[in-house]
Amino acid sequence: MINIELTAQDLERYDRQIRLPNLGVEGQRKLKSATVIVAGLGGLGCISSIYLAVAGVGRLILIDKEKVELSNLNRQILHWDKDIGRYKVDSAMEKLNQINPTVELCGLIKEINEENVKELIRGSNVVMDGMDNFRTRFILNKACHELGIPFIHAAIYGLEGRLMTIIPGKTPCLQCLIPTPPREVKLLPVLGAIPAVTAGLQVVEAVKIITGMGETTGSNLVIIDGEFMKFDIIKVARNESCPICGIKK
Amino acid sequence: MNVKVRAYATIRDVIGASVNVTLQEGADVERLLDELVKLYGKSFSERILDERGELLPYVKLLVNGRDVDFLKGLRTTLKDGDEVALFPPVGGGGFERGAGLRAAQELDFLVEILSYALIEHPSFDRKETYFASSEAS
Repeated sequence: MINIELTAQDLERYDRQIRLPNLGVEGQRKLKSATVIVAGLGGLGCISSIYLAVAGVGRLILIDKEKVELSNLNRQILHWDKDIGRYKVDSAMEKLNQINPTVELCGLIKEINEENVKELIRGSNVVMDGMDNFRTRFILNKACHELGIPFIHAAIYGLEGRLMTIIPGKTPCLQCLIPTPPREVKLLPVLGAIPAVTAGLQVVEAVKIITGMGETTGSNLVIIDGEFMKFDIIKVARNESCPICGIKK
Repeated sequence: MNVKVRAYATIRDVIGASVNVTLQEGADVERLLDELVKLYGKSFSERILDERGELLPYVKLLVNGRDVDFLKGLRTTLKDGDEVALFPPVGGGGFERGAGLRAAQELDFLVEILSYALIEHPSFDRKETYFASSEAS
């Protein structure tokens, strides 16, 4: 990370978070020097990119290959009615640039695959999971492990959100949790506020990783049960035979 | 004895958020799952078990908050008042691949027709057909 100096404007814009005892001016400088990948600009990615931008992350790389559809609008709040038919990357960049013009934005209309994943995420400090399928999550998990980049896994279903921060070499990885690809469920139910809550927590994890504050999820999978307003924690063990991170692989 | 089963995500869609099951003293997790399969059929079993009747590797099953992978797996013995939680994996959150609202409505319409046609057939499973057709689109 190159350390970039803060301007007088930065100090005012981020004043309320600089006041966090464990963040401070130094933490803010780290955020400004950081590059974060937002993989997918759906329900999760719309929220995470907004809060990463307002937190003053220096550079955001937004990756999504899709165009905005009417049925996205109950949750993907960066995309508005007028944006239907536009690339999500274009729609998101327009709004994020207005929310915080001091953040450098890089939009890529691309599908993440085994061939391009490493060149897409190399050099970044954190990768935010905003995918809608297990296949691409597995690709990101593997590449993040090999490049040593923290991968913040998030997923939603209905009124339920899931969160697990994967720190290569320290925590279990996504394939320790989900060893084989499950059947993909398309057109799943979701209330927009659920990805919002989940992605909000995802950003808390990203800011902690970048600034060194607090602790991330460790070996826990956090389950947000919106239907009964409870948080469940599941302990995930590192799988010694995990094909990605196992010591016996 | 009675055990309480709590279900999440796609399993909750099938059996509800929680269900009390009465079992014989000394029954294990496998017996409990047998009982749930009897009650909820294929839509439950296909979300939990592989073709050999083993727990799918990506389904987390906890007894009183402890993963059975660290206990005795399906052979973990239950006792009265135990709480068993079933967590299937969850994969949503991002952009939707391909199918938009119209495609979804068309599929739903197709599935409706199919369900009327097949409703008498005992092995017909609406969800299975729905996901299979939407994946193929």
